[in-house]
Amino acid sequence: MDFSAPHMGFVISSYAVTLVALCGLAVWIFARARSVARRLRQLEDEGAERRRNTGQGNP
Amino acid sequence: MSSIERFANPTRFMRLQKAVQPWVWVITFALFGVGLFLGLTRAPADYQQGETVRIMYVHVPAAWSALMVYSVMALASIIGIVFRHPLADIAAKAAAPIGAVFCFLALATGALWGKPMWGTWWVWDARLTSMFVLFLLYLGYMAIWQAIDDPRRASRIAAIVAIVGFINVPIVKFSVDWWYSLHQPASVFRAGGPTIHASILTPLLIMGLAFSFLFLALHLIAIRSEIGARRIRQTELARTGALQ
Repeated sequence: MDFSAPHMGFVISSYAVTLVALCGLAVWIFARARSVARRLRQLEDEGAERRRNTGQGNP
Repeated sequence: MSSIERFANPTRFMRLQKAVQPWVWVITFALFGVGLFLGLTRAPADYQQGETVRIMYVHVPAAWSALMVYSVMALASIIGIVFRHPLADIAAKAAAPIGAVFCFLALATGALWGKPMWGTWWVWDARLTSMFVLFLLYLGYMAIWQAIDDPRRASRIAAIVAIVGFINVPIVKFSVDWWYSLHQPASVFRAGGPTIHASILTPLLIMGLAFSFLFLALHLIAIRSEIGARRIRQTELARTGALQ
């Protein structure tokens, strides 16, 4: 690739926009996955604790 | 339908997703590595467009993927409406933000390609306008899920929008043949075969596959999150009911 060619700014900008948008999308999807997994673990722990307190836990 | 039901079971899906996810990432990164290497270093510059033609290796796969993801959404919506399978609604909902980003990228990189080649960022011609309509359909679909609290009602309305909006997909594809357009006509998926030389076509197809695998990788995670989010909602609703 010839970086001194005309309009290279447009080419670099295209790849930069693509990189930023795809990384942003991936970060958002990963962040949501982590927050959902954390909340699910929290609910499971709360449920287990409540079962212990009410004596409904597994023997 | 039994095999669909077997694999569309949310718990089974979660197990399958965990097993295949690392391999999907490996294939995605490998395809991007090879595609970018060939497209940026091995493929020749265009005799008319010069180096600007390299925008094609992100613009065209983004546009293909935007159309493919919308087709996946429409198909999942049909399955959701006909068979009432919740995983189909989840799959359609999880695909929408990914497709919207691909569509945005097709529009943005198209504008960045259009300015030096056509002398303008944007024209309201058939291909560009129908692609913009696709972007609006993605935004509208996501807005429905955000605006309606009841997931069953939201899924029905969103599915109808996705299915009706699918009419725009062939319009985008054939717009360059049906109407006069600044945009060039189809040169890869056409009746007479591709009109592009193999040195340019190969990296383009590899980048197309890379975008498809990226969609698969992100979609699998997004579906898993949505299944989890629904379980959270059900648990919280059950607790609220138990307290009352």
